[in-house]
Amino acid sequence: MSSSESDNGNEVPEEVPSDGEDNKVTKTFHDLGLVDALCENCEKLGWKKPSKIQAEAIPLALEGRDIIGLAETGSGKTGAFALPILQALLETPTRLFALILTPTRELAYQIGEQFDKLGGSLGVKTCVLVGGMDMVEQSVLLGKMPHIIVATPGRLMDHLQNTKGFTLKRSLKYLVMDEADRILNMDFEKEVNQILANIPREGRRNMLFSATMTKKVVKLQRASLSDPVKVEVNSKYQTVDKLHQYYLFIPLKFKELYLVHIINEMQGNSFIIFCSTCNGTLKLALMLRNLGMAAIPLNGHMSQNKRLGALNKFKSKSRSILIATDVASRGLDIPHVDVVINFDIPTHSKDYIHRVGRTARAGRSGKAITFVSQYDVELYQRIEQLIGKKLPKFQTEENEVMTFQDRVNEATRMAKMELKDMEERKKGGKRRKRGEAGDDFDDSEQFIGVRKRVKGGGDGNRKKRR
Amino acid sequence: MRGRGRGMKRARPGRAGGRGGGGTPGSKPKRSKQFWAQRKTAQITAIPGQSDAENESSSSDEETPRPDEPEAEPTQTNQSEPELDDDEAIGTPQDPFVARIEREIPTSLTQVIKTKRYQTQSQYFKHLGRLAVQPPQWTPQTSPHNQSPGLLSAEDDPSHEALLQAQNRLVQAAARQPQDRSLKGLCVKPQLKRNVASANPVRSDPESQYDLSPWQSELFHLFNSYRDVSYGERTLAQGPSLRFAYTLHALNHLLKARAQILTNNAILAKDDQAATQSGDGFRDQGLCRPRVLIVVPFRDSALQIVKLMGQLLFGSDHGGKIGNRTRFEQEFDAESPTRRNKPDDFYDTFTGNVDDEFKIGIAVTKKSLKLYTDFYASDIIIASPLGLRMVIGGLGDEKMDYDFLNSIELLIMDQIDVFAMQNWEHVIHFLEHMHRQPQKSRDVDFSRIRMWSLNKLAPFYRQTLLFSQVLMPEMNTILNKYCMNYAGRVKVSNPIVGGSIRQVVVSVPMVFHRFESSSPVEAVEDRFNYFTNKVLPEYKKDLMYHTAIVVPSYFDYVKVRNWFKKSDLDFLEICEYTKDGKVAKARDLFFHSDTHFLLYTERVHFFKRLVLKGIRHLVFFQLPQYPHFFTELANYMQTVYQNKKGGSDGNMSCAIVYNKYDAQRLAGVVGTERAGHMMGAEKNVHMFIAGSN
Repeated sequence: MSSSESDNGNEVPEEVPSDGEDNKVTKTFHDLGLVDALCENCEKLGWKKPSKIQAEAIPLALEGRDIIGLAETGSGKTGAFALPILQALLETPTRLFALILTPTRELAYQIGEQFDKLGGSLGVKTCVLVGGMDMVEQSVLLGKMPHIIVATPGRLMDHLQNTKGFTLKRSLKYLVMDEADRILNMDFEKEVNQILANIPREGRRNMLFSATMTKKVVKLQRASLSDPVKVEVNSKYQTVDKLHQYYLFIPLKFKELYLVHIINEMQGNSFIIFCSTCNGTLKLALMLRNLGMAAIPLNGHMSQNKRLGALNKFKSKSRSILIATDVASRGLDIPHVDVVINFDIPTHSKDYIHRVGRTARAGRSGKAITFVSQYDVELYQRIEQLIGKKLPKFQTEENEVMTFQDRVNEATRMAKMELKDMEERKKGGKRRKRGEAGDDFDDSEQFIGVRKRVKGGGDGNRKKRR
Repeated sequence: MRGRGRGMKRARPGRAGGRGGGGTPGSKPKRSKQFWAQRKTAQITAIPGQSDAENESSSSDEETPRPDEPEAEPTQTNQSEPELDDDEAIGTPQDPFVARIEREIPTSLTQVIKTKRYQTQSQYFKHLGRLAVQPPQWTPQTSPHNQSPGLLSAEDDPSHEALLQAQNRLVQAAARQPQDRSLKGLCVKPQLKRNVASANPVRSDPESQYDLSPWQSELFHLFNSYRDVSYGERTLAQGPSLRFAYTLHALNHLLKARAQILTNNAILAKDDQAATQSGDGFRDQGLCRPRVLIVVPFRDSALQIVKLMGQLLFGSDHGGKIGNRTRFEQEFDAESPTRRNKPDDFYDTFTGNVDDEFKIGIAVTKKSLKLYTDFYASDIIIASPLGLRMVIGGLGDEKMDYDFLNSIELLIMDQIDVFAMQNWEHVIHFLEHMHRQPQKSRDVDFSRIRMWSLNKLAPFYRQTLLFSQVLMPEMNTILNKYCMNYAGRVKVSNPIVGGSIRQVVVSVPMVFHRFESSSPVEAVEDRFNYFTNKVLPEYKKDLMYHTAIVVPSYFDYVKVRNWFKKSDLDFLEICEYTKDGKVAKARDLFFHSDTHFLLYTERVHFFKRLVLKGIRHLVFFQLPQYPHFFTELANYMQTVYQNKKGGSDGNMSCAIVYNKYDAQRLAGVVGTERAGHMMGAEKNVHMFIAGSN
């Protein structure tokens, strides 16, 4: 979640998008109290000046306070916790020094990379532990005793339980929760509780960062902060100014149509399209491909390697359309995203802020378009309430849109068929495997029976219809 | 010269200090990690006083890369060797084990080994003969730890250079002709040293003060230098004494490793904080437990090794100290067949239980030797190639298990020649699966795993010992393809004088046909073509009845047989898969001149040692792996074995097909010198009249 690390090095220097006149922006990293080595590395990354959240949080962190950091998306939060940790590490080199928890695997890799870039040249070793990758390989990395561990809660728990000789009880000094509201959410409750039981309580610094923060004190208490400072760059849930947000009120059945129209109109831009379900991403991707648009899906049902592959393809611009579920809504830093489309409206209004935060990063401008169907009005109103503004309508010419109708309908139909084929193939594969193993004869029989029944039923229907 | 000289001098003050507090002989002095560290500092502080004088005296040597001067300065040699007093030295950098295992090798060295750059130095040992010592072509860069990369370079231990020097010196020292036969200066654990005399099967002179025979002593020196050793002249008679030498080495290695783990355990148990404070100081294990893998062809060999282990560890009264002993003896012991009319070497090879599918895990603990332990709770694994193949599983199998091969530090392969007769593919199969990343973590403490093991450098830390009765090209293949020992290797290579052809008693002209081929792969096809086009037409004539064709490799054999079938030739076949009844019938038909040709493989001869009667013409499709088979088969042409009614003594011949890739086999038959001549000669046909030599 950093400002402008990015792959295309010569990034525009940090320009904190903020409404207030800030005297702090004039500060340099050096002024914040960072050692020369780190300042140099920041410069190498193209960070000329600290962003607002960095300027606020780093001095406090260097003092050794617990921090709750709230800042809008794309404002350099990773730097805000990475730099003080690295500095503390350089003072007292210790193995297994800091733990960073993130909700998604992609985010974990991104943060890991950032640590490598900032500290790799100083001999800092970082290890990323996420699900879906080889356990032994990760155990081997842990055996080398890295300084920094970036992990998703589930896999970290797995290692704490199953990797002998790996314990955080002795040496851990820093705990960071990135996207803290999500981590403290119910989804990760069990894992986070166990992790907290397995790390030292005394002498541990905590940092919680997110763009949206839970207000429930109970949840925060679980992180056992001691005398925390709240660093808020913007008090309201806000989105960046250079982000132009629109809504589009359309009937549900025309969603695909409008999507194709928009993509067509804005050719040459890169898109992230958010869907609510994994299957939805797949269906959309197939449909767009049928229309000759290079779309790539990203969802939790894909294997970790495929997920990373998809993301890399999008990052390297070989695909310009990424269709994702909420796995990609938080923290991913892809500077070149021009348009975010909420194909399905986010069910949690806070997710809206994270989703649209994928664009207009680090001082660039970007567009966000939210599709609102007849069923989504209430959810949409909640979002407007959260961000505290009314969004303008996205202008479209209905006649133009409707010219695509036939082609889109055809493409959708084909996509559905392909999807069905894929599912059947999957099932078939499973069935064959089971057959090979030599058990479950009953099962296959049952299956045939069901099929017949369905067939029969179908016929009946048809007759009735006639 | 720098490494040797300074390393040694550096070490001395530390050792002297240690002597005062040393343990009583017999009981193992407790040497903790801290103890070790103290020594290190002592050594290092001692440098400034000495280094000035040292630098002046050997300044010219500084630049010279050390390995380039093979036998320089005998004075230094003499100084360094007798100085080592074992009980004291075990566990210090003086100990070859420590020097080898504790050292972290730099990437430049791994590169040299990966690209197979070795230099060759020849040596001569009194009993082993000529050695080709091949260390990697690499010179240590001066003090690599000075270029500290970052602020966090805590790993860079200044004592590392001392280790490197100590190790180099030891390797050098061990590659020299041992001065005496005692175990002095070899850092053998006292527990083993006590029993060496009583356990050694070939202790030449009971009164002598030496525990090893001179031959064993030379071998053990080579083992102890932690270089790979390839020895291709292992006679069957030498078997027991060789077994003793490598068992001693394996146990010595293992006990040292175990002692290190135990002392570390003790320290960690006492002081929980120690682990965090010293960081990498307690790394003493691999990714799984087994460290030694001994591959032998028969159950009987495993039995002998385990017996030796018992005797070495616990003396002669090892009764109850071997767990599962009864089961082991039931499964591994068997009566040898009574000796009858077959050659002695047949009975010597197939003694006791000759089953070739077995594997056994052995755990060594303080007071006992546990047999049949789970592989992942074993220190030593003894197995046959087939046994390993069964455990590992093949590519198509659902479950493959090769994790236990990850952390092997010492691989011993005895009787490699027999593996070739069993199934060479199994050997390659397990070698392919050495040191792969485990699929599961095997209950090891990841904070105790050695850094080089985590960095996937384990192949460079494996010592491989290869023993075979005959020198085979396959051994070189193993060394070149599957061995990456960072200490390099030693090959014992003595010229063969005379060759087995000298024992041939029939005076039949033996014609050696050489054919040309551009690569070993093409040679297979070329040989077949040469044989069918150039050699065989001669033997198809009616006059040439009683022609036996020996095809050593089964693959070639199948090809030749199919060709015979296709060409509609009158022939009989005996191979390892032929049923006994058919074998008897074939031998009978051949003897009574009912059939023209007999096809015969080397493998069936190895396992059955049939006497083929009535051979008038003998054709070797390829020379056999065992030179004495050549003699044996040729001598079946003696008059006693002939059918008087079938052909005359005047009409007998012998033909051999070979090419340059058969050099080692040819050398076994005709001797190294003549083989060289024949390979280099312009004419490609040579004739020997045997019996006249």
